[in-house]
Amino acid sequence: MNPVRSVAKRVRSRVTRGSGATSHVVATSGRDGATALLCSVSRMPGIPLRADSNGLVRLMGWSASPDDIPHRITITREGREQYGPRMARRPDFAGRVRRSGHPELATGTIRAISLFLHVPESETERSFDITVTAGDHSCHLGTFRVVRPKDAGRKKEGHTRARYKEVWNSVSGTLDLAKTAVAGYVDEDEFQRTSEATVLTLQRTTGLKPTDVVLEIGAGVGRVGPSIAPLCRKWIATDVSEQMLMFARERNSGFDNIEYVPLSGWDLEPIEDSSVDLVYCTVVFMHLDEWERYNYVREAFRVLRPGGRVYVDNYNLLSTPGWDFFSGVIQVHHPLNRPPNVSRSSTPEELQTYLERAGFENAVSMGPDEALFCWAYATKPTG
Amino acid sequence: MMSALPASLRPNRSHGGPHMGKSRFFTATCSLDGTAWTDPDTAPLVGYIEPPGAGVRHTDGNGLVHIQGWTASRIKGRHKIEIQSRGRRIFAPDMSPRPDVMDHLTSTYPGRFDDGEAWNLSVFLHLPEGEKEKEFRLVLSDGAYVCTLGKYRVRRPDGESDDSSALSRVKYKEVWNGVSSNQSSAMIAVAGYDDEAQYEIAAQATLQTLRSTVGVSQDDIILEIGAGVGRMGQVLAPLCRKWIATDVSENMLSFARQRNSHLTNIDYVPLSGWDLEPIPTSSVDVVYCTVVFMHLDEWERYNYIREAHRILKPGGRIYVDNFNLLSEPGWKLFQSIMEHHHPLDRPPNVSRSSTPRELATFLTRAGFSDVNTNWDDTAMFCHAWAKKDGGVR
Repeated sequence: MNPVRSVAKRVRSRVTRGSGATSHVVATSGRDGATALLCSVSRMPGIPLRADSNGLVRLMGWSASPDDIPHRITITREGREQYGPRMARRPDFAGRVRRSGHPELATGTIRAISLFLHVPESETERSFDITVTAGDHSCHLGTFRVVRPKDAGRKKEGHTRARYKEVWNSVSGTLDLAKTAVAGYVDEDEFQRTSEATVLTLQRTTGLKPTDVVLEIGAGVGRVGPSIAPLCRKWIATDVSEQMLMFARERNSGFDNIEYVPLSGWDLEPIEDSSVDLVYCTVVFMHLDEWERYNYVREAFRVLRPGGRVYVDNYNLLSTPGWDFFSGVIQVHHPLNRPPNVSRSSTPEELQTYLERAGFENAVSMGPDEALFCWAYATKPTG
Repeated sequence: MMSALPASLRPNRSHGGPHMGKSRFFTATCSLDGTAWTDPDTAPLVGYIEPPGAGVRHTDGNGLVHIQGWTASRIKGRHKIEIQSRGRRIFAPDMSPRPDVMDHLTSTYPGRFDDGEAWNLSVFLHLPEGEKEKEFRLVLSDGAYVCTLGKYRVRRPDGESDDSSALSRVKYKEVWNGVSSNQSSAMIAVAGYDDEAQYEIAAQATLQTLRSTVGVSQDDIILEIGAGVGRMGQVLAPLCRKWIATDVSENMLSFARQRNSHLTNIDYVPLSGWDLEPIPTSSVDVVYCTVVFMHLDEWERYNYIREAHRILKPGGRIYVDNFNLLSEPGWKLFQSIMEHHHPLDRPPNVSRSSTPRELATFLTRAGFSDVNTNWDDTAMFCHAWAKKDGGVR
């Protein structure tokens, strides 16, 4: 099946091959002969795309519409929709739009398409459906099959912290190592105590109801499980490390309302839209780069039901214990030999910004001077 | 082994404790003049260093030797560790409290350390690539006593090359020399464009910012951290006594020199990537660092501010900035970085944001006073400036 033909009935779309050095796909959507949405990307669907040594393929292009309405990219994999990246305004792409045969759209709204398709190391290929929507119109750009070459060779060495999966699987070989990596201690009594403290924090900020489906981002060895699972309908423990989740499962084997979901390291892809009541992420942001912090908040917004609540925290650079922690990192690690998961600080206003920018309302952030952590919480609008 | 130890450091294997490392313990004590050691039972300052003793140390793959331990004194007073090499002071970290050591000492020496304090000691000696050997001296002071902990000759082990191939952000020197092989690419790497007219406009804007924050006067010795291709040279050098252009990249500095060759009151100083080691203490009137923090990790941001505090004269001024996550243009930049780089494929020098209170905290914690920040929702950058206590202005 030609994927481009599978677009909704009322939408006319077509695929053309570009005449330039790179082949591309153009999809249009319109009514009564007028084009309402025009999209172009640099790769042809149908032809397998070869991923680079990181398992990545980058897709670039643009979309244009005569009206000034938001454009949105949706990436679908195995029937599951994920948010695409934000589409920036690119009026400077007018020349490309004009050359595509639709000069009338060159003065309309032009947005950039720029996205990465990723095949994890454990898989050989993945297929992605990409659709751009604007108002009532949508362009299905096609199904893109990305193949991860076996002979990829040595991985490109880059920013090692972002290899979250490798980093966190590598520090969790045994339960004690895993516990030390996430908490700095192995004592079960201490785990029980901090687990109760986390639940208390949630009760005081976002609230915790027996009917809630609750999701933790970065659940590690399932520290919070024993305290939270009895108090909610379902607890979804997510983590980038399959190794960590294995220990989480062992430690919480007495509960039957827990799901364990491994993550990519930068999104909540396996989780359905609007399916969760409370998302929280605690003692995790310190190990993330700022972009992943925001992306998880953005993903939390997606998976939460209207009215759902979110809680995030990090150690606070501005507080006295936070500063002592920061100084400790400087003392313990030379710039040239910091571990990839070294703790990075936040300020309360950073956390608040992420929540507000992701679309949450009633965002509150706090960072008392006597506390190591700062935290922020908010709700997803019901309207 | 004994002969390899400096006279000022004597091993005492009878003392140890549960929290202080796995290998042998040494208790070092010192007297007021820093030359002779006294009885450990009565000495005012004690300490422990691992690896013990001084002498020749071999570096790891990054050219580093890590020396760790603790120091304690009978009186309360902030301990300070100083590293000297070739007569210069080198950046050394702040020392943090070690309550576990205090517990150990108060139980081992009842009554002797009840009013005292213990501090953590953690020092990295770094041998830059291309150098065969470097000598370091460790000096400890607690306000009343000064003692030399030892001399270390740091060497690279024979036949061993740099084993860490990852070009990460913190390899500042390689990263920034790597993007500045010619003048045009150097100019684009630091500013995003290589147009001289635009450079002039941007330099004038920076000058305005400096004038309205720290001020610029004809008598000032002004130092820029991360001067790049010397954008500020032609507008600032004529207005001050001396302009010191520092940068981690020797390539960048060579272009800075070419572009400012007509000016005679400029010094060009290459840096390690995390300190201002070549600059003498209390020798500069103004330190500024602009459009640089985005490329640094948070710890280096603070280290440079701390170093600025060291090299500034009393009453000296400092200005720093970064792109502001909280403003509208700052958020746009943050988003565009997310768009352009997959987590697995970000360049090492990718721009990281700040919040205004982060910058203010760094200045306050480094000891500056009169700390100010300035930002609004429409501006890409947040600015912070402050003053070192003392002096007359």
